[in-house]
Amino acid sequence: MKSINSVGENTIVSAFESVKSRAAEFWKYLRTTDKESIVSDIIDTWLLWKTIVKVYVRAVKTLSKRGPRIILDFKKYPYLLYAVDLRSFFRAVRGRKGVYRKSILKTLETMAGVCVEYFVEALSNPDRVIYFQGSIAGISELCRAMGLIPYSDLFMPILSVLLNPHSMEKYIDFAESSGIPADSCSVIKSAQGIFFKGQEFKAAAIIGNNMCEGQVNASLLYRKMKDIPLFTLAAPNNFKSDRAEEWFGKEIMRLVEWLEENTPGRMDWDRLREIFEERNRAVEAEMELWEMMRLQPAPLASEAIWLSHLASANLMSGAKEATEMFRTLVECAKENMEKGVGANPNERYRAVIWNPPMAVYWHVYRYLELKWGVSVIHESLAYNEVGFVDSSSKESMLRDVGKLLMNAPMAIIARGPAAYYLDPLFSIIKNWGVNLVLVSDHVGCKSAAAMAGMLRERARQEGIPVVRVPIDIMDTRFVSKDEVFNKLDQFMETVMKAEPLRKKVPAV
Amino acid sequence: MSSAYYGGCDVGSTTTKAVILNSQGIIARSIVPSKTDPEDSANAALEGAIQKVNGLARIQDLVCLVGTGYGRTEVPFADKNISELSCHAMGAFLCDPKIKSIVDIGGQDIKAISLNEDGSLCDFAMNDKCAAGTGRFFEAMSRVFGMELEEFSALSLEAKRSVPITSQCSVFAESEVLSLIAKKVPPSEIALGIQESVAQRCYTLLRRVGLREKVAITGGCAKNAGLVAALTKLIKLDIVQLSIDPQLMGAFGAAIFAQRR
Amino acid sequence: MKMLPQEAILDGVLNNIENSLVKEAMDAGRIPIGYTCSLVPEVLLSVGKLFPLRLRAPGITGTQLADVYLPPIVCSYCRSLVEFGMDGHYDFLGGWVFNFSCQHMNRCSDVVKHAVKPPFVHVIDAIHLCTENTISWMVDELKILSDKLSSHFNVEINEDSLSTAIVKHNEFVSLMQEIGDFRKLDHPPITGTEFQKLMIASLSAPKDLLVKTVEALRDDLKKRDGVKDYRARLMILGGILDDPGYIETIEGVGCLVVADHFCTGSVPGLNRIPEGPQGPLERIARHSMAKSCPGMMDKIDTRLNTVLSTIKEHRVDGVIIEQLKFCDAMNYYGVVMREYLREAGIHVLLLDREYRLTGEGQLRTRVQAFIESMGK
Repeated sequence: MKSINSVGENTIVSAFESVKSRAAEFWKYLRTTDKESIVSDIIDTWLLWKTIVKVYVRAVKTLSKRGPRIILDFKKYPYLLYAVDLRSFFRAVRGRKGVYRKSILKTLETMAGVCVEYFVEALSNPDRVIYFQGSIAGISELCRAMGLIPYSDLFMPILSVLLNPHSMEKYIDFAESSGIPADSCSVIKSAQGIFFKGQEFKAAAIIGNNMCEGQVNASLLYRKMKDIPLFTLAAPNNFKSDRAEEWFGKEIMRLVEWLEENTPGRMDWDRLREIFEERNRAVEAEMELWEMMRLQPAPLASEAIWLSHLASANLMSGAKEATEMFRTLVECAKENMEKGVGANPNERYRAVIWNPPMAVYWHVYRYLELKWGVSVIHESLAYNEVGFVDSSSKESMLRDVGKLLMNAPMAIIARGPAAYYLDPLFSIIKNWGVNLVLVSDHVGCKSAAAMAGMLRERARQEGIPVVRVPIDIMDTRFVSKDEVFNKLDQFMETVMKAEPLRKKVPAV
Repeated sequence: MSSAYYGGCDVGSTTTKAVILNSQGIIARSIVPSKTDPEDSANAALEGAIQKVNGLARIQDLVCLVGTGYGRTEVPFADKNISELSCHAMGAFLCDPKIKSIVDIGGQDIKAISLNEDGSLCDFAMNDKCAAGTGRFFEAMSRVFGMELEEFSALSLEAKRSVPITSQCSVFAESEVLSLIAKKVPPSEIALGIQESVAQRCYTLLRRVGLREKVAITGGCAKNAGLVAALTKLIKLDIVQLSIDPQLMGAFGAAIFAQRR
Repeated sequence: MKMLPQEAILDGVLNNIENSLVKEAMDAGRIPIGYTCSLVPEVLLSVGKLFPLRLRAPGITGTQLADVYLPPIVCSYCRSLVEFGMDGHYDFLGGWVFNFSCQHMNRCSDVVKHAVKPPFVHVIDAIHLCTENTISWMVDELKILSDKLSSHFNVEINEDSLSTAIVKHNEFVSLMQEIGDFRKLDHPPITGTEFQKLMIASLSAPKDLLVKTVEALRDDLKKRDGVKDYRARLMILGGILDDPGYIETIEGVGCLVVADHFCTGSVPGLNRIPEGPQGPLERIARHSMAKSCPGMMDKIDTRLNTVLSTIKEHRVDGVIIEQLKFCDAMNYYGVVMREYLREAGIHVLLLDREYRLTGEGQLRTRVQAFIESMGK
């Protein structure tokens, strides 16, 4: 048995060895790197740490509003603890440089800051929280205009796995052992596991919806389990039609009336107009960004496109911060455009990610960028065809709330005919010069899996290589990170016949 | 000694068990490997038990015989057949009336049973479409390690930490184990990981039927001390030590039903 | 029990989708329209020379062709339909009418359009809530369908022809209900297997060509001795179950299935279209939307009450909830329903199954244990 002294000695020795090896690495870096790159790296590192400090300062200020109750919050909602360590979140920028790095930092900073404020707001005002199943595009604006706080049951699951890929495993297990079928989508199971454990945020009402089968089913459970008012919104399957939009607009009005009867919310139509006008300003900037993404090489990529949209649509639609974020992204893109450089200095392939993003291994896009020169140009949860909202009248706003809801992220995957899913993909391929499609084959998303054959045939006809990656976007136990990365490596080597840019990508 | 003998025969996929009892209790038992024909298996097991009883010459001499297990309808001269779920419930209840949850890990399936206060079946859940986590699975795993089952079980008890086995399927789990061995992961840690993966399956089934103490494990795999330890740790409840061989629980329960008829 | 004289006819209808009665109708110039969901109103497909056929895949052994498009985690019913479609089994159909029952069926319709390419395909976009708004939407949907059917098949679908179809539908349903009511007796003269054969046969052939057989069956049942020797009275609750072999396996352990509540069963299959002041299309829409379906998002209390009252009327000892593996709708509905029924003191067994009957031994074990757990 080793003595304490020898254990201590070993620890000191290993720490010393580690410092020594890092110092050697750093010295090698200084000797082999040109001055300009060193300066740029110093600026990048400074920007990273400045952003992290800024986020923590904002978070502490926000959390201090809860006072000592925050300790009880962490005890009652243990998944919030994953947000304490944001290092892996911000390390997404590792290897990304210059303006591109700045754009991703802006996205991450905005998202992190808004999330903390969101949760504190929801925790502090449970009588105004409206639980909504799935993406809250459309509902978010409506609730805000009514003085209510929209909260998606999928927030915490998705945010948690972005921070820690193992965070939802125990909730998934709990949901399954409570009787939820194992083949259900794990995003839904995560949300249900949180509910079954009684760790969901308190709410004044629940709005169920039929965005996907999992949510239809979850609403059955919530109806049984929870003694709070539940309203069910169900949209037509063929939602891209004037008839569907007009009909669903009436359902939204019914929802407004119900919320006024059952919650403290009161609709302020002027406020709704303001929110939508702000949203339109953000969308204008986003559209400009998407337009610039047609350039080759793309001035920005990856998280600056998909994560920025996910954050804005779900966390801050109609908020000035969303507009500011997109305007910053546009400025970053313009800067690269003027310099004639791309986000990815080694852009060889332009990819679109179709199906839900690989939340549990979201650093895979960075991996593809750094190892294979793949720039992620667009993504199915970000892409939508709704555009601007018509805020000219009450009816037009209601209709557009419905339209936003029906066209929410995932809508084309989970509902509507296959054309809703396939046509936009091939339109993006054509209009954005995409030459590679990456499909995250999320187990539990049967709707997407059932379109794999049709997608494959069409891609073959059009000569577009497609790689399908089996994954559980919330659970690492189904397919490991190594398996996912190996699969992509094999695809790039054997199908794309690509040479890697480097042997090893520094881990996040 | 009473000359009324009652028999229970549990025709399983891997082994066939027979128990003969009278008013004093169990007087003979037999476990034989199952043959292709369940009737042959039942004959062999019953003959094996009958030979040990002085007052019995043939199967027909039993006052009542109940068949159970997958081959229960093929037990010769059986007066009745009863599902193995009910038989395991009855057997375990008689060993200890406080038992409320049972997990039966057989050769090719796993069952979880919850009992009512009177020992009757309350609810059950079965995993009989996949051999992962069953006797077959453990046989395959111990083959990979080049050990007998008892050795494998003892090995898992030596580990301080486990290496998770993520494959759901026993075929792929075997590949995964081989890869881990090739990477020089300590065998005891792998063995513990295997035990924990099966324990997790058992736990999921137990939760489905409502986990309440006391808890018992029946079936051949109950003799796997490593599995018992892993399950005990997971469910945070003690597992009852049964007074008769857990592998005989189905046949014992069937014999009790025969007696009660 | 002695076999019913009509059983041979029913078996003939069940075992072939293009059976003798379908051929007889087609020879007379009539057009079969296949449909996939109980929310698709048969009545609308029964006008003029059209007749409805519930899409089934009897005798299917595998889904190798369908698996090219639909992965194993998609429900086996959908895969079976695509398999039969791609294999030419449904080439005799004039068209397919789907309902947006669930995402599996939605994608099934996509693949059928893509790979089978029938001459006529329509998907009714029924919304899974039953409110006045959704009913009005459904009326519009049915109008769109009837216009398409009219123009494609050159049939006159109007208020008069629909009203006539409704009357005929209700007459047939009343006849079937008479037979269904026998199952409420202490000793029903018809087993669950036989009744299921009758139900499925009625969905698999033109009703007007079957009606005499059904009337004769009803008359024979009035004289038949009832089933005396059974251990328990069971109800089956679930989704798409169109293989009587499943019920036969269940009854093989000594119980009797006396009630059912699944897509192809008596509830909701044998509900009459009520009279009313509304036009026929609206009456049909209301009738469809009121059907108890696991995919519906509301009125769970109504559905539960229907189940409870069926249990009471048929003096059911226990309920078996069967669900197709990977069926998202039933998987949750089954779990929720089980909890509700248990709270009401009803014995419940939840079973997974594939579309085609497999694992009979495993099924028997579970059902037998279930009956034993009831003390029967």
